[in-house]
Order: sequence, then C-alpha cells, then structure tokens
Amino acid sequence: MKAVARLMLAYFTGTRLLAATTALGVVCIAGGTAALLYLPPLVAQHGLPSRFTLAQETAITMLPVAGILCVVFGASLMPVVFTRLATSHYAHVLPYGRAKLLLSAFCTVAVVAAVASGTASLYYLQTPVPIGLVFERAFTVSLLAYTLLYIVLWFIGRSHSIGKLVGLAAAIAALVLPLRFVAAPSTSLVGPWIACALLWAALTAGFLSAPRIAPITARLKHSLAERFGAASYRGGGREIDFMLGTANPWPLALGQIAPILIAGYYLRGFVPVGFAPNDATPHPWLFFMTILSVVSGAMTSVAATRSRALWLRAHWTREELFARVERAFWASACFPLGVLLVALVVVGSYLAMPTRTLAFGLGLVSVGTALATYLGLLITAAIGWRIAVLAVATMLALMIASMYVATPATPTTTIVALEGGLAAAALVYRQLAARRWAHLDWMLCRPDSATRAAA
Amino acid sequence: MSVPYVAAHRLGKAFYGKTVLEDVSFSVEPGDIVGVLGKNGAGKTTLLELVLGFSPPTAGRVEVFGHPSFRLPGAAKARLGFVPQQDELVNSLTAADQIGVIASFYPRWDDELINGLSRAWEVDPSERIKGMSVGQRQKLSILLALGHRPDLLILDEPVASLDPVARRQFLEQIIDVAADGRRAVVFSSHIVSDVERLANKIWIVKDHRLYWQGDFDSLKDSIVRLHIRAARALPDALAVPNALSVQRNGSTATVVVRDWSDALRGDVAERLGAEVEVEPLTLEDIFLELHR
Repeated sequence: MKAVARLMLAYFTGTRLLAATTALGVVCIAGGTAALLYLPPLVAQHGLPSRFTLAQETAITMLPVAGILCVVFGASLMPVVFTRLATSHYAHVLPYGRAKLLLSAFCTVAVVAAVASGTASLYYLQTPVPIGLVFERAFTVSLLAYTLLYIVLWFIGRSHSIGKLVGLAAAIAALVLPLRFVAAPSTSLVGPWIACALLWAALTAGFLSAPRIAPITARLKHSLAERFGAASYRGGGREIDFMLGTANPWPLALGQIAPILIAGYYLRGFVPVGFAPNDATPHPWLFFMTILSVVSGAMTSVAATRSRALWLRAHWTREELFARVERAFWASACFPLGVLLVALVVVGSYLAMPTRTLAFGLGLVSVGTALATYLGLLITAAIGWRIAVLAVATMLALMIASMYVATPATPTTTIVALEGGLAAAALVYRQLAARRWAHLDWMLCRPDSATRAAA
Repeated sequence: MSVPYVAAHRLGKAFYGKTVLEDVSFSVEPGDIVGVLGKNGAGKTTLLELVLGFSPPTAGRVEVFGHPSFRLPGAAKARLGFVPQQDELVNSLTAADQIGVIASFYPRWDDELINGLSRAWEVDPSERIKGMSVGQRQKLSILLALGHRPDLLILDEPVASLDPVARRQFLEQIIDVAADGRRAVVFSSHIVSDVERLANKIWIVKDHRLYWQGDFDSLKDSIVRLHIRAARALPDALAVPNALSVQRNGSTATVVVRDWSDALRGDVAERLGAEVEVEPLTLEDIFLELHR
C-alpha cells in the first residue's frame, strides 16, 4: 500500500500548482459546507425573499462546486503520471508495478468521487430526501463519471481531434450523470453499477494483460498495414493550417453533437433542487454549452508550440505570425462555435426558453469561445501561476455568468454588464497575448514529442 | 551449485519475420560485470530487453533468478535494477518526488546511498525534472536504478549523455556495486574505453548473434594483429588461419586473426618463411576489426 499511497500523494501534490488547487478545493468545500449548514436557506434565485443578495447566494451555492472542481482537477496529474509510468519500462521492472499503478488510479478516482458525493449531498440537507440515499446515488454515479473524466483528461492531453471528441462526450457524461441520478430518485442504480464494474474490469484486464496482448496487436497491426497499406493523411488546406492542426475543423464541430445528444437524454425531465417540475430550467444547458464553447476555443493552447516550425520556415515577424495564427484559429473555431449556437437555439426552442435567456445565452457562448481562444494564445511557455489563476478565474466567471443569464430574476443590465465585462476581458487577453507573442522565446516553447507527432 | 542470475539458452527474437537475435546462449553469475558491444541495430537493446522480460522470446528461453524472464514475480523484480537508453522520468515531478514514487515500490531503499550520490553527482532533489539537462536526467535515472541496491543491474547505454567527470564517477559507482561479489552488472555502451575499463566479461553482438563472449583477457589473447615480414614477396594467398582482415604490401603484410594462440606462430612463420610479430589489440581495435 506504500506505493499506492505515495502515487496518490504525487497525483494530488506533484506540482505546486496542483497542491495549491487541491488545498483550495478542500478549503472551498469546508467553507461551502459550513455556509450550507449554518446559514439560512438560499431562496433568492427563485424570487423569494432572502437575507442575501442574488450575488451572495450564487457565490455560496457555487463555493462547494468550485471546491469539487478544484479537487477533481487537483488530481489531474494522475493521467499524466499513470500514462508515463504505464507506457515505460517501469511498469514492467517495478515489483508489482502494474497492479499498484492501477490500484492507485482506482483509489484516486474513489477518493475524488467520495469527496464530490459527500459535498453534493450537502445540497439536500434541507430537503426531505434522505442524505444516505443521496450519497449512495451520487457516489455510484460519480465513480463512473470521474473514471470517464480522467480518461478524458488523458485523451485531451494527447491533443488529437478524436481525443477531444471523446473527451467532450465523457466530460458531458461526467458532469451530467450524477445530477441526473441524484435528482431522479426513481432511476435505478443497477445500470451505473454494471457500467462502472464493466469499465474497471475492462481497464484492469487490458492493463494487466497488456504485455501479453501487445505482441499480438502489433502483429495484427502489421499484417493489416501490409494488406491495406499504411494510413495516409487525407486532409487538405493551407500549410499553416496543416501545421497548426486547424485544417479540418468539421470533426470537432460535428462531433459536439454527440455529447449534446447524450446531455439531452440525461437532462430529460431533470429539475434542479428547489425548482418546480414545470419550471423552464435553462441552467444546466447554458452551463454545459458554456463549457463546450471553452473546450473548442482552448485548442489554441498548443498554438505557440506548433507555430515554432512555422516561424522557422516562413519569413514572418513574431507579430505577423501572431496575426496569422489568430486568423487560422478563428477560422477553425467558427465551425464548432456555429454548431454550438445552432444547437443552443434548437435546445432553447424545444425547452421554450425565454427569448431574453436564449439571446444572452448565445452571446455568452460566443464570449466563452473568445475568452478561451485568447487564453490559449497566452500560453507561450509552461503554464505558470498567472495563467493558471487566470484560467480558473475565467472558468468561474463564465460559470457564474451562465447561472445569472439563466435566472429569470436577474436584471437585464446585470447580464449586459457581465457579458460586457467578459468581452472586455477577452479583448484584454488578446492584447496580452499579442504582446507575449511579440517577445516569444522559442527556447521556452519547444513542442514535446507528442505535439511534434501531432503537428 | 548456485543458480546463475541470468541463464539464456538458444534465445531468439524476430519482429514481423525479421530476425533480430538468433541462437544466443549465455549466463550471468554473481560478481560479473558484463559489457555488451555491438553496432547500431546489432540487437543489444533487444538482448537486454529479453533478459528483462519486456517481450517474450520467439525461440529458446531466458531465466532471471531462476524464473522465466517474461513471467518474473514481484520478489525477483525487487532484485533487479534497470536504466533505459532514454530516460522515462515524469517531467512534471521534482527529482525528490520521482525518487519517492519509485522508492515506494521497493521493500528496502537506501536513502543514504541516494542522498550521497545526489550530492556527488550534483542532482538537486528539489529541481523539477522538465528543467533538467539531458545529463542530469540520465544521472537521476541511474540513481533510481541503484537505490534498492539490486542484485542484478542492467543498463542500456547508461553513459551516453554524461560528461567525462560524471562518467568516471558513474563507473566508480558501478565498480562499488559489483565489488561485494554478490551483485552483477550488464551494460551496453558505445564507449569502448569504458567497457574496457569496467567489464570483466565482454559480449560482442554481431549479425544478430553473440559473436564473442568471455573475459576480456581471453578476447585480447584471441584476436591479435600479426605483422609479417619476409625476405621476398609474400604469396597471393597468405593462408593464415581464421584471418579477419589482410593488408599486403609486397614482402610485408598485416593480418588480424581470431582464435590465435602462440602455438600457431611458429607454424605461420615457417609456412611463409617470414618473421611474425604479434601485436595485442585494444578493445576498440578489436571491435573495429570485427566490424570492418
């Protein structure tokens, strides 16, 4: 167990940033728990008289959620360390290496799921629903959901379009599944348990038998390649798009439909705590669409490393390079953004969302893509403290804004101010990114082997 | 009789029908320091990886501590140390974290040894791995393989990225590791002088076979350069047994021969009617002659 515990410690505290994120998560959960336990009930967002302002209530409500997110992402080193050790000679040379690695991954997911479920149960403290039942349901589904989420992080880390699509699907499932199963007590837990057992059984079997399977799959691949020829690149477009990975935006754009359909299935009949069954509830939809807009925009985070080869080949100044890269990524991001906007209109019409909510929702999704695009362009070296804090603050701001936009009681001026502020932040990010690119240090911006291969 | 640490019998490996190793047999005993030499692509890494059990052999068998290497139990792995050709460190971690993670897998870990070596090799435990130079990373990889004081240490090109000072320190450490006679080291290297200085057994991999295996002195006695000087022009066919290379120039010739013994000297001299001078070769010369 020593190795499992040490690995888990490394997952949560391997870098200063992750250690701080995990600590922040614990503080937020503790603070949120205290607030939900000892403060009067939060009712302002339903239009009822409250001792708090809407902003205060939103902050109190979001605090434990932010804490869960921090803990979840505090362990985001797990896929990195796990993959590195699992694909290296260490997996074979270390005593019981594979078994201990796998156990550490399972324990990490179980700990995160337990923290998330325990925190989620707090929201039901002041409702007639039994807390034990809520925890059981939340834990069951969270275990499945967070397993998928960490697989997502691994896929996203690989920077392939297919990985991003699978990532999006799993992220939506990870975020939506617990809500669905906790909010609908009649739903059976048998399905998630079977899914969870099958998923972990498949992971265990595949991982532990990998050394025996590898020669067989290698032979199979080789014989397939001999029979059908090696895979070749069939994309088109300009050289700059090919090198930046923006040549074909359609897989990502159309691929978003799958997670939206999955979310649609699970959000059917979903009613957040405190809402009447017939209330129009755009909250989760706006929340998820905003997250999707950020993911499609965040592709620019690899722009600087991929541009290195461009700068070496083309006779552009750093300023010219930034302008061309910005244009290329926007040209690519327009496709997923367009699909998202159409999807939001379709969902909004189907759910009969108020026109004002839908209109501001479209604006929010667009601003989300812009913010993520320029935040990504700001990453011109390793992700440091400032970028990390900016990214977390931006995500939180977008999530809070989505709640405000979805709440009918929010004054229009507040929403305009919020979205205007976010748009202004995007412009500031653009200026900062342009300044960074003007002084881009290529020695600090080397592509790793995976990025080189992908590019 | 004690079980050898490694025993291979008629070992072979092929990838997609292409032979990489063929009919290789050897053993490694406690106290052995084996230097593996061979050109690029000769099969050195494959040989070491078969010993470690990364892949099953396609022919023959190899056993480590009496167990088939492909199914090595955890207890046997705890006696094994390995340094790969390219480091496999986790960039996001600090050196101390990486050491902590790897150390936690072993039932015993010599912190004193690792701390001492870290200081001597100037590896800063608080430094993040992604900020380390290639040499620093290689040193850290070696530290990770030494910490549990393995009985069998296998190193694939361990010094390729080290400067001469670090290389010398590393070689001294390897000698220390093997000095108690209980441990064994198998290492491959392109730096022949290191192998010459360190190894007490040499394996030369050539054309996917173990062309030579034995102690260094036997190798030096076996492969020599003959300087032949005759009073008249030498015949076209010199007919020197086991000649690896021949350079003729009228009445003189230089011949590198294999399986040489002093008993052959008189025979060659008499047959050619010439003086035969025997020049021992350095390991580097032997290696070059074998691959000429």
